[in-house]
Amino acid sequence: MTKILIVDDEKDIVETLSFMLQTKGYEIISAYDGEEGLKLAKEEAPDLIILDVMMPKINGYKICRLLKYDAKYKNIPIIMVTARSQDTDKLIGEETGADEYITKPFEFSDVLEVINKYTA
Amino acid sequence: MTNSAEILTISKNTETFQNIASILNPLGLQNALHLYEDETETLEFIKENNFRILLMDDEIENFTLLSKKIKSETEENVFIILICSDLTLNKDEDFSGSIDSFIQKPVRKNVLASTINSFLKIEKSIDKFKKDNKELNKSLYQLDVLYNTSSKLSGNLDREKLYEIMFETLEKTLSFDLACALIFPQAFENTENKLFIHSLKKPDETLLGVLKEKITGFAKENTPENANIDFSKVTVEEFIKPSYENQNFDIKLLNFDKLMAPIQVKDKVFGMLLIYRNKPFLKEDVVCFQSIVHQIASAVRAIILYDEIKNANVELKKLERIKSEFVSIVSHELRTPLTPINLSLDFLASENTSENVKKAVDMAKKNVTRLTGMIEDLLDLSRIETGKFSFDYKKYNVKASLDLTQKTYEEQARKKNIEFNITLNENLPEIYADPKRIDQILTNITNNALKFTPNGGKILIRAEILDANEINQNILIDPIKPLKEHLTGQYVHISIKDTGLGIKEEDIHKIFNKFSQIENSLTRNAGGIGLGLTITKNFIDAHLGGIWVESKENVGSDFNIIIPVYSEQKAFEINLNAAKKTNDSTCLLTFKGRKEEISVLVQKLKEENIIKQLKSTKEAGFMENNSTQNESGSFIYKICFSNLQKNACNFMINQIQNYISTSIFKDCGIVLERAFYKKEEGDYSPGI
Repeated sequence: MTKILIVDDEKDIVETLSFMLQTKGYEIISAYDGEEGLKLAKEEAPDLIILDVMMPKINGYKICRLLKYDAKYKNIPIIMVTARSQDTDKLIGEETGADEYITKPFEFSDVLEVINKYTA
Repeated sequence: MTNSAEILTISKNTETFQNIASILNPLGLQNALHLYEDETETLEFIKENNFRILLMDDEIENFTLLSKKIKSETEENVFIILICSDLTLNKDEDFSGSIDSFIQKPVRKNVLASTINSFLKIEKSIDKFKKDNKELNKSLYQLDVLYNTSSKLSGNLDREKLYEIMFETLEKTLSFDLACALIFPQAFENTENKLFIHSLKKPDETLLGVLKEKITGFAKENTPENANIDFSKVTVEEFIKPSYENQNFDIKLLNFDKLMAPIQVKDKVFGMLLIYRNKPFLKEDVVCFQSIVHQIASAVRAIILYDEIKNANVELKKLERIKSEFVSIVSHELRTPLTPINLSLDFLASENTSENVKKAVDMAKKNVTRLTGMIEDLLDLSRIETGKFSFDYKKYNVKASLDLTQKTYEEQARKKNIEFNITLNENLPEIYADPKRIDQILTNITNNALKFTPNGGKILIRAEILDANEINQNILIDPIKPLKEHLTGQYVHISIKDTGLGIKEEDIHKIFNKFSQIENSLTRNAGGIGLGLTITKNFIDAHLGGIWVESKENVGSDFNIIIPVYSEQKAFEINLNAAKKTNDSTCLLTFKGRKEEISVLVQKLKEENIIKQLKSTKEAGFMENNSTQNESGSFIYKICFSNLQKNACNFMINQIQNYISTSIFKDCGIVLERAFYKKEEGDYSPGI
C-alpha cells in the first residue's frame, strides 16, 4: 500500500486530507510540525510527502532541502503546499528541489492527480 | 570754562554792556559779556562756551567776517544779532551766512526782548522736533528689527533657535543689560524648566539666586493652577558678553529699570521674560517689548502645534499600518478553514450521492468559492497597503490575458444571453507587467460588467495602441488628470464597454475607493465587498498605467485601462516605483553624460567594488537602466539601491565622486545625481 506522509501545522487540513486519502486506499502518517515531520520522513520511509511551507520549528523549505540533499531520501517525491501563489515562495520551493507545488486553497482532485503522477 | 548764560554780548564799549544788561536782567535772561580785543581771542571764547544768541556791536571792525567765522566754528548753532548805529548804513551789504537780525541803537527794550523771545521760541520748537525725530527713528529701527524677527520666526520650527532669535531681537531693540527667560518644560521639549540668562556681565551668585526666585515667583503667579509645572526644577544656561569679562553684576542690578511679561497666548503660558536696563525704559520700549513677547509666544505655540500634528500623523500612520496588518492576519486565519471545507465538499461531490445532496454540495461549493474570493481581495489589499505585495514583472503581451478572459466568461455570457465580443489589434506591442495581475484586472472588470449587465445586453472588449499625446488631448476624465503629466510614449489601451446599469454621475469618482459598494445601497444587492476596483486601480498604478470610466446611468459603462508599452526606461521606472513602495529606503543614482564614458565608468566602479559590494549584500537590491536622452546625444544611466541606509548611500556617492575626480573620467563632464526615498515618509531629498 502506498504510504503518504502529510506534514502541516493546520490540524484540520491534515485530518480532512488523511480521511479522504484513506478512503481512496492510501496509508497515511501525519505530523503537525517540521521537526516531527522530518523525523517521520526518515524513520517511516514514505512513498510521497505532502509538505506545508509555513510551520513552526523547521519550515517546509528546510525539510525539503535536508531530504533532497541526502542520498538516502532524495528519491522520495515531495509536494510543497503554500499559501496563495506568492511567486517568491514558488521560486525558493524550486530551488530546494520540491517535485511539485500546489497552492491553498486547493481542490481534492488536484491532490489526487499529483499523487497519481508520482506513485502510479 | 563754561558759562551758563545763553546770551553773549560782544562789544568794545562798556556802555553798550550796561544798556543791554539793564534790559535783559529784569527779564530773567542770563547775559554774558565779552569785551572785544582781537578776533582770535573772541573766537576761542565763543568756542569754549555754548552760547545760543550773540549780540554783536557794530563798532567791532569786520563784524561781518567775524560773524561768518563764528557761524562756521559753531556749526551754525548761534543766532547773531547786530546792534547797529544806523540800519541804512549797511543796506547793500550781503549778510547771508553771518548776521541773522538787526537792532538799531539805542537798543530799545521791547525790540530786543521780542527778538530774543521769538528766537528762543523757534529754538524750542526745533529742539522738540529733533527729539521727536530721534524717537521716531528709534521706533522705526525697532519696527525694522521686529519685522526681521517675525520673518525669521515664521520659517522656524526649532525651539533652541527660537529663543536665540528672541534674545537677539531684545538686544537689538532694547539694548538690555541683563535678560532672563524662564521656559517651561513643554515649550522646550524638556522635563525641567530652563532659565536662559543673556547678560553684559556675569551675574554673581547672590544675584543669580534672586533672579531665579523672582522669575519663578512671577511664573507661579501667572500660570493657571492646573498647568502642573514643577518650579523646583530649573536648569540655568548663561550667555555672557565677552567684552565685559571678569566683571560682575551684583544685587544692585535689581535697581535698574525692568520689564517683565509672561510668554503666553490666551491662557496658555509657555514661560516668563524679564529684562533689566540701567537706562530707564520709555513708553515705546514697553510697546516694543510686548510685541516681541507676543511674537515669541505665537511662535512657540506654532511649534508645539506643529509637533502635535506631526505626532498625530505618525500615530495615524501607525494605526493605518496596524489595521492593514490586522486585516492581513484575520484574512489569513479566515482562509485557513476554507481548505478543509473545500476538500470535504470535493469529497462529497465525488461520492455517489443523491441528486439533492449533489445540489446542496454545489451550492455550498459556489459560496465557498465566493468567500474565498472576498478573503483573497482583503489579503491582496492589505498586502498592497503594507508594501508586501510583490509583483513579478516581465515583458508580456496582453493578448494572453484577453484570451483567458474570453475563455472564462464566454459561457457565463451565453447563459445570460449577453453578446460578448473581444476585438484586438493583432500587432499589440508588449507591455512590462505581472501577467497574473493583468489577468486579475481584466477578470475584475469583466466580472463586474457581467454582473451589472441585464440579460440580452452587450459587452465589448477592445485593445489597441494609444499614444500619450492622444490620451492627453482627447480624454477628459477626472481620475486620469493627476496622471496626465506623467504620460509619455505609447500605451496599450483596453476598453471594456457594457450596456449595464451604469454609474450615477455623483458616484463615478467614488468607485475606486475602498468598500465603495458598501456605501451605495443600490448596488449592494449585487454582492461583494467592493474591493475589486480598488485592487484593480492599485495594480494598474503599480504598472504606471491609468484607469478611467465613462458611464451613464441605465445606458452602460465603459472602463478604460492604459498600460505603458515596454521600453527599458519604462521597465526601470516601474521597478523603481515598486522598490520605493516595498523597501524601507531606496536610493536612486543617476549618471548623465556620454554613453561610452558612463558605461566604462560604471564598469570600473563595479570592478573597484564601489558599486558591486552593495549588490552582493542581500538587502541591497540593484536595478539599472540605459536610455537615450534626446538632447545633444546626452545619456542617462540610473541605478537603484534598496534598503540602503542614507549614510551608506552618501558614503558610496563620496567614493564615486572621489573615483571620478582622481581618474581619467575627471574631465568627462559626467554629472551625478542622487534621490533618496523613505517608505514611511514618502518624501525624498534630491541632489547631492
